[in-house]
Amino acid sequence: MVQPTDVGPSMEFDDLVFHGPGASMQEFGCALEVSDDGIEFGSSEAVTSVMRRMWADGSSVSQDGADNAETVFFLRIRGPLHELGGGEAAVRSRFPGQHETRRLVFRPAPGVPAAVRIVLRAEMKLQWDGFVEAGLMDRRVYKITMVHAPFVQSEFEATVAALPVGEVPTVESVDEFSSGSDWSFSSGRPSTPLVTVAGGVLKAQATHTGSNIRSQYSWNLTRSTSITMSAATPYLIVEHRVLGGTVTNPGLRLFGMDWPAGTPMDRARMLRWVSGGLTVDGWTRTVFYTPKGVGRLTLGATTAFSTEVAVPKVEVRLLQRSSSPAPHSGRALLRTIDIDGTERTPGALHIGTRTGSLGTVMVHTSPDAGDGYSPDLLGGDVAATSPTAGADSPSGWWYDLNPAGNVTTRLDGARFTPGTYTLVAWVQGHATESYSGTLVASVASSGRMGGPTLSSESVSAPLTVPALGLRAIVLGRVTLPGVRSKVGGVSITVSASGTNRPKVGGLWAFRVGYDCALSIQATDQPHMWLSAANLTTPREVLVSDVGDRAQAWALGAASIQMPASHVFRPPRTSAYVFASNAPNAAADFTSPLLWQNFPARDGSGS
Amino acid sequence: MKIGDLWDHDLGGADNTVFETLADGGMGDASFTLAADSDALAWGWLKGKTIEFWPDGVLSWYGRVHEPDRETGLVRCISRWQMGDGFPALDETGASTRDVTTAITQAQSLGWAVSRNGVSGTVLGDPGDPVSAKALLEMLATQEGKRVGLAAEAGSNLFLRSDPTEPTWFIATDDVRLSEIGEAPNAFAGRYRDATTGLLETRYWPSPLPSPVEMDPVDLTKFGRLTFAEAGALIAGAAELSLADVRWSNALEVPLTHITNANGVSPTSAAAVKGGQMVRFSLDVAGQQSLGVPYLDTILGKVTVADGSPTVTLEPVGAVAKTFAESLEAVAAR
Repeated sequence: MVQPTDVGPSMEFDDLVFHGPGASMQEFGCALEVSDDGIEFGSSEAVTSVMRRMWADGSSVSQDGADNAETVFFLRIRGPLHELGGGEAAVRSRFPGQHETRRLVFRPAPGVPAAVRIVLRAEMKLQWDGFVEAGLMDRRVYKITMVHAPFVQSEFEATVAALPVGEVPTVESVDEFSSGSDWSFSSGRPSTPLVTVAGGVLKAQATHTGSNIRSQYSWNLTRSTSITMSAATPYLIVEHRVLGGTVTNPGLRLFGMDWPAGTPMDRARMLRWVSGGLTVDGWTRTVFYTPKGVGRLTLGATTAFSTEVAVPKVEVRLLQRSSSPAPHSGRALLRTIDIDGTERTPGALHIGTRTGSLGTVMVHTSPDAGDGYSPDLLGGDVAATSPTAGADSPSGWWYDLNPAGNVTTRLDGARFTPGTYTLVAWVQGHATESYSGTLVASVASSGRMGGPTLSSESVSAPLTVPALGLRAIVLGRVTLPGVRSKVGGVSITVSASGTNRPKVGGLWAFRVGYDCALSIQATDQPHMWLSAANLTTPREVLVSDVGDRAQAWALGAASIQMPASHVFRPPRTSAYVFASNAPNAAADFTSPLLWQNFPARDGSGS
Repeated sequence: MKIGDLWDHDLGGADNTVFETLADGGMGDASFTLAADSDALAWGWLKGKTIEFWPDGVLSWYGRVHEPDRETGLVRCISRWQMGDGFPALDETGASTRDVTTAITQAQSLGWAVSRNGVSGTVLGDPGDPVSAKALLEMLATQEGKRVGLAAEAGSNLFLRSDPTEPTWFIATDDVRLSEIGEAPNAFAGRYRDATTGLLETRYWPSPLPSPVEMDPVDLTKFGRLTFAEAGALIAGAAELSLADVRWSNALEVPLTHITNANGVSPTSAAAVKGGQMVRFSLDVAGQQSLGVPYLDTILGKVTVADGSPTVTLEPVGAVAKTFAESLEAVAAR
């Protein structure tokens, strides 16, 4: 290919370069010149439908996308008479065949972003001069017509990180329990207590010398170093357990003393309890709300045992401050993708984790309407009969539907743009038995939060899941909120039929509408790319063990529970990504930037 | 959508996907277009493949390929309910039966993949030539004044249910124009073949006849031999299914933004509107004056959903057969 040394605008078609008049010869002996007259770059054709309304003047016009455009120009092939045929063949042979495309790149000037058109079909028509002239002239002129995809692309593809929004909790450890010197224990037993640490766990117990044993003890565990909290991490989380016998009332209260002790500001205050009594393998997890910090921290409780015991033993393994009261697992995160350009773009959403596998991947894309929509339904006021904390659950909790349980979430109706939503649940099978039955979600909506139910709807789906199996189950479509109101409430209850019921770990309402799409697929690889379909390639789901798309292969159809063609629309698309095995997976989006006629940027980021 | 066990995206994409949900039958016809020059796709491969439509992630229609047309690229499909036409209502000895449970069990063993879900009963009339399992179910439904079919959201479970009594959706007719076809008859003279004598008899219904009477004759001989009581029950059941005295016959294309639920929220998915649901049309002044009521409740007979379209096409029950008598005969003719 000849290096373009000619001045002025140029056009590249596949590997050929066309210039304006006066272009230099190409290697096949001809010059390819684009005539200044008669050139017309096509713009996209909008596809619209018009509906005439009876009750008012005017018609509603909806735009259903854009259709192909056509670019026309006159190409002059100039050179010695015996080379002109070769020039025509060089151009003709570059035309796209069936199901092929070629790039037509228009460069107005160096340094100005080039406009790339994807050519689907091209035609050339000879402009005939005459019988005698055909044997004398040193040029032939052809009218070239190219049908191309509606919008121009930037020359390069841009990659943008899909950053999670606000839902990843910041968690910091307050005490790693490497030394017990900060702590002191008292329990009403007269002799000196022991406080030790072993394996990151603080162990405190009274020592007993007399014969007096009791079934109830009031104890205190005090930490002398102050704890700084912040408005960003206002929750204090403690995991503790009491040993020595069977405890009948696990629970904890917390005091804080303003520091330093003995000064006029020193006073004890009870820290605000948020949630507690939730067991994690025998440990009790308690959450307190204290944004202002704690001076001298005292944990205490009156613990009752089922029989009399000699000494109470208290162990603490976790003391953290966090921005969220729930043990968030980071497996389901709302991300936003800033997309440059003016038109929706096909591109590839990449989700990856450093080690292991992604597991079941659920992706919902929707245009970011600026209304704070997030599909997650379990992040707020959730009431359940048997919740247990679970770091492997997307919401941070497992809600057991046994023995006669259900889980109810109450939400503000205004957070849903009115419309249809698809309800999806993430369930784990019973601990020992497989389950076969029906999962039911009922939705009750009120006109005012806390008011009577005005609209109710119920969807259900059959569910079969083996013991401890994990599954995403689509429950059905519901209208949310059920009542059009700015102050209404929505309450969703999930329950199951039969016996050996599963646990629910995640519940989502995925918006249905224009440019919203939900896909569910599973892989044991750590990297996945979801590519939107475009004119020349179907939708692809690729997976790989390395983070390079060129080394990826297609995910088998059997692993795809629900495919969708995700739409990525500028300026911003929200992508809610759930990966069952990969907490805090990274995500990014690569695409060409699409503009109507001339790109503002070339996509390289410079 | 799914073709066989491949998603359409694996095949380059399907276009113009259209499916129908019905009040009678649950699932109606469907079709889609594949690029006609798909060399990669052997058109013979499509034959008999199971087809599923999954708009919004919810299974809304399933059936199989019926007629692929390579020239236009249009592939017509029939639903699993309609496939019931291919299974005669027989018992295990091969004799024709009017007992629904027996007929379904036999059809299941021959390959009709539905679950009976408790639907049972005996259809009136004597077994002569066997009808299809689907036609037998439709006769049972007519007899009981209910609707029968297969709805995708219930998996492969058959339904036999009464019409809803409350509207699910509300539409303001200022926006749509209903073409009225006039009043239905209020009495029938059913001609049937008596069970004992075999002679043609007439049963008038209802009893006593209303006054003034607008009577239509109805031919019930296709049901076989009936008793006097059975003939009356058949006409009564079918009459229960035609809800409005006044009926409209045009298919309406309504944008989703003009449909709301009882509390003012519009669906954003056309597949949320289904055949069998009740719709309340609020009428404009001209409509109120001509019909004498401020609104019209009707059961959606057929809803057509074109994938990706913001409109949904609605037809009321009885829209296809213009008169009640014709609809009764249409059932008996199968």
